[in-house]
Parts: sequence; structure tokens; C-alpha cells
Amino acid sequence: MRGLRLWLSAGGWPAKAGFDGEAQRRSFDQAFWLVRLYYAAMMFIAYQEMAPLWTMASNGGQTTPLWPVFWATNTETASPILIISLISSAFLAIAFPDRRWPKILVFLAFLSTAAFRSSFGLGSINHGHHYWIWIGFCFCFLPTGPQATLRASKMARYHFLLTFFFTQGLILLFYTMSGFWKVAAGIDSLISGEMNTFHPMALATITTWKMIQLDRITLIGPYLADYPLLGWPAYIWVVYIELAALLVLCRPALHRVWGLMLVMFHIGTFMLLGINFPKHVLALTILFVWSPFAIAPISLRQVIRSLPGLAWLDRGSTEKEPADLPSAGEAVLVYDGDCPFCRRYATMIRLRDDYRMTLINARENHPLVEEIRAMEVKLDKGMVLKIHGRYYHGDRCLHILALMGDDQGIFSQVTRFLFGHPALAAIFYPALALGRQLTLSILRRQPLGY
Amino acid sequence: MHACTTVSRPDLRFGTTKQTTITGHAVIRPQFLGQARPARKLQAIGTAGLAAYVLIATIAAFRITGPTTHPKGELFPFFTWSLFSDVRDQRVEYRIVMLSLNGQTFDDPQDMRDIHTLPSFSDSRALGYKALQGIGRDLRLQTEDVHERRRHFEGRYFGRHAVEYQVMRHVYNPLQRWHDGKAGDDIQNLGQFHYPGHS
Repeated sequence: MRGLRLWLSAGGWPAKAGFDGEAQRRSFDQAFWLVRLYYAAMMFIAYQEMAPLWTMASNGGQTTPLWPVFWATNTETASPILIISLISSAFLAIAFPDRRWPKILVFLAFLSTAAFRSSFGLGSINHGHHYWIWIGFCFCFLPTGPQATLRASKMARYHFLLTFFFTQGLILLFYTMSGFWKVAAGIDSLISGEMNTFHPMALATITTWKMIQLDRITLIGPYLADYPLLGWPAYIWVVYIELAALLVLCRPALHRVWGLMLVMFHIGTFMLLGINFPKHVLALTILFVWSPFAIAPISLRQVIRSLPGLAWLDRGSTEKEPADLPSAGEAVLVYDGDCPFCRRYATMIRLRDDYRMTLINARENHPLVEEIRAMEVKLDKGMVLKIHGRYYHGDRCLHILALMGDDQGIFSQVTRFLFGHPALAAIFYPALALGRQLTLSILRRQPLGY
Repeated sequence: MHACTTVSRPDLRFGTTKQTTITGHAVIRPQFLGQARPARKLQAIGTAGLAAYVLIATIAAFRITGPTTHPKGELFPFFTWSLFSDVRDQRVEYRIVMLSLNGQTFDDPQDMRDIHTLPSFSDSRALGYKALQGIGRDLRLQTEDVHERRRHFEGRYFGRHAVEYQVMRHVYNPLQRWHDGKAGDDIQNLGQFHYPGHS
């Protein structure tokens, strides 16, 4: 059970940043203001809702009211009641932000408005309001009081942050459910031999269907219709980020990344399908892009390592690393100083603090160069690294240097990605060696000859 | 084994900070979780809340559509979030073709969505479309309450206008339709109806 929990949380549950002393206070302050921002945005949304509610009143007609607005059988009366209750409750929520009752009122008013707006679909429901409804519902459970009072109590801070945390969880759950049904239906259709989620044409088919359905030409939909295969990797990636969303909850290194990716997903949805979800984008920005639990700054490696199910992409951190990684100490790198690539590489390497490195130009007289020559190791075929009396040559040298790198900066991360695994280093290395030989011949420089 | 990182972690029991080595991913197991009973209770409530949502949404949807891999029904606001899970290359679309409006007959029958004087899709184009698809399905299956639902639809989407219309069922391949137009559609007329308009 503990193993499962650790796997789910990639090491911790819930997120570290919210529950560590001073870091918890910082997270609390941020969450507190994000909640205020939600209610400020609610005022804006309430104002925006007035126009469609009034249009409904003018259009008239019969409704089939959903349960929260069972009383709203007459649109001409219901619309003004909802406009007034939504605006006044949103106003109360920003006027009395430290009380619970305005939060409950605004939740009920917004729930009723959303229900009313979906009461004309003869059973069909729009989902543009759902996020906002559920966030409002969760925020009703936040502890109330002035910021200073809540900040002073460890339990109140914890309660506040945990409520925020589970609000994030609920929104991520929606994406995971969406991903789950795509995969489930995809497998079902795949077994029946029909078009399915994983089919190369899936996104193009959905896009053209939606454009036909809504009688609308979207921004990039027609291009995808002309080149349907272009949508395949994008759609598979979307299914992945949806399906894995809930796991991101306990991986604060991914909060911002996922927030941004989901925002981009909604932008893409508009560009392709013409479906607009402005409230979703706002909710994602508040909850995830500005997540109070997000770890910052994060490196590309931390992100890759935390990707649910895809941590193997960070090859350098697999089981082989500790076995290959030399212990702390002095290292010596022998390289060809006349080769611009080798010289550049040698000067750009940044090692972890545990190591100290001396660079030796193989074209100069040095006892170590003589030692290597005596061992008949060909310096023309690659650099040599010596550490703790052991020698690493060519691809092995690059692999060990990649492991010893400090992970700071793009150069270290790219070399780690390319050479972090010995097999990959062996694959890439011959191309580098060939490039070196070609460069030397173009620059009319002699090889070392040994 | 994973790469190790050393971090400063406050020990909340003693108010001190100690160095702890963590392995693997970019998050740490918090020290004080599990020590306070109210904290554990809140975690349990939150987790149960998430599980309850999934359960209610799924049961509600299955009660409407039956067990399926693309459930559509909803007990508002509990939704299964099954969106675009049904990726078929054969689509069914119901359309309303207007033959006359307020006594004036069209020389060329018009798609309902092209008649902008109707209140039809002014507040939600998507919802109006969904409602139309629902009516089309009911007509095809001749459900028990089809006439009542059709009257609701007419009241809402035609309003005060008198309309003579047909409901058509199109079966098409979206990509093919996009490139070649409606010529390849399989079309069926589900009936012709008259709505007198309300005053």
C-alpha cells in the first residue's frame, strides 16, 4: 500500500511545498489570494452571464428545467431573478471575502444559472460552466477568517491548503475521466475493427465532423482535413495528458507544466474544433499555472523524471547510473586541442560539486598523454577520462561525463539526455567521431596519429 | 535506485531543520502527515469526495445509457466527462429543412440554422444543435414522448413563427463530406410537420 502511494505521488503525498513549515506559510498566502482571485473572476463572469440570460428571457418559450431550477418554468420571470441573484451574490462574495455564507450564496446562484442555461436542450447539457460550479462548491469548505488569523494556525493553514489541493484534484479528475473514456472507447472500437481513438485519422475525423456539425470553418481545421496524419501525434499526446492528469496532483514539479499544457489543449480545441472554453482556461491558470504547491524553478530533467509512466525518458537516472557514476574526486580529461568540437565540449562541461577536473591537451607533452599512448589507446578515436585510476575512452568517456554533469543548463541536460545511457552513447558516438575527422580535414589540421 | 538530492526539511515536531537525503522524484514525503488525526480525517474526506464524484457520475450515466464505453447521460452537475470518446467515421446528423416560414414558401428549402430570424440558436448554438439531434433520434425511434418533446422543441426554437418543416437524417463520413460535399450522404426523410407559432 505504501509502495502504491509512493508511486502515485512520485515520492510524497500530498505535495511537499504546502506542508513544510515556512514553505507552507508561503503556499498558504498564495492559495489565499488565488481564492480571492477566483471570486473577483466570478464577479466578471456574473456580469458576462447577464447578456445570455436576458436573451433567453426575450426568446421565451418552454423549458425543461434541470433540478436546481425546478421553479424556472417561465423564462421571462426566471431570467431576471437569476441575473439579480447572481450579480448580488458575486458582489457579496467580493465584499465579504472572509465569510462563508457569501461563498455558499454565489455557488448556489451560479449552479442555478448554469442549470437554467442548460434547461433548453431537452436533456442535453452544456459543460462550459461545470468547472466553475465545482470550484465554487469546494471553496465553500475553506476555513474562514482574516488572512492573519488563518496564517497563525498550523491546522487552519493545513485545512485551507488541503481544500485547495482537493479542488485541484477534482479538476484534474475531470481530465482523467475524459482520458479514461477515450481510451476505453478506443479499445472497444479497436477490438470491433472500427475507427478509434488511436487511429491516425481520429483527430481529422473529429475535426471535420465538428466543423460540419457547427457549420463553422475553424482556424486550422481545414489544414488538418487536408493533412489528416499531422493530427495523430497531437491527439495521442492529448489523450496522455488527460489520462495522467490526476497523477499530476501529487507531482508539484508538473503543476505548472500541466496547467500550461491543458491551457494549450483548450486553445488547440478552439483552433481545431471551434469550441470555446474560457472559464476552463481561467480555472486552469488559477489552480495550476499559479499553483501554490508548484516547485520552482524546475529543470527539464525534473519534469521528465516526474512524467507519469514516462520517467524512463530520463535515461540518465535509471538503475545503471549509480553503478556507472564514479565517486567524488579528481578527474582528468585528455582531449584533442586542435579539434574545435573537442575543445568546445571540454570547456563547456559543468560537473557536480563533488568533482574537480583538469583538462589536458593531447597535443602537449604530458606524462598522462604518454601513459595513454603506452596503453595503445587511440586518442584520435576519442577523448580519455581518468578518475580513481580508471580510464574511460570514446563513448564511455562521454557517458561518464554525462553522468557527472551538474544538470544545470541546457548543455548539461542535452548531453545527459543523449549520453546518459551507455547504449545510446555507443550509438551516437561514431557519428561524432566522424564529424571530428571531417572537421580536421576541412580545417587542414593533422590528426594526432596515435 | 534514483539520483540523490539533499534538502533542508523542517522537523515540525521539534521546530528544527534537519538535512535529509531523498531519492527519485521531485517531491518529498511530508513529515507531519499522519501524526495529527484531524489532518488524516481531512485527507480521507477529500479522497472520499473524489471517489464519490466518479461513482455518482458513472452510475447516473449508466442508468440513462446503460453500461457503455461512451456514456452520455448526466445527473447535473455530475458528468462522466466522456467527450469525443466516440470516434466513428460514419456519423448520423439530423437536420431541419424549412419549407415555409410565416406562410411564405421557400423556393429552395432552407436549413434551419440559416434562418436568422428564429430565436433558435441565439443563446447556445451547441445546445440547440444537441436538442435537434435528440428530436431527430426520438422521431426515428418513435419514442413514447416524441410528440411532446417535439412540441417543446418547436416552442423554444421556432417561438412565435409559423413553420412548415421536414426532419432529415443524414449518414455521412466526415472527412469525405468535407472534401466532396453532401452528394455522398445517405439521406432519409423522417417526416413533415407544421408548427402554427405561439402568439
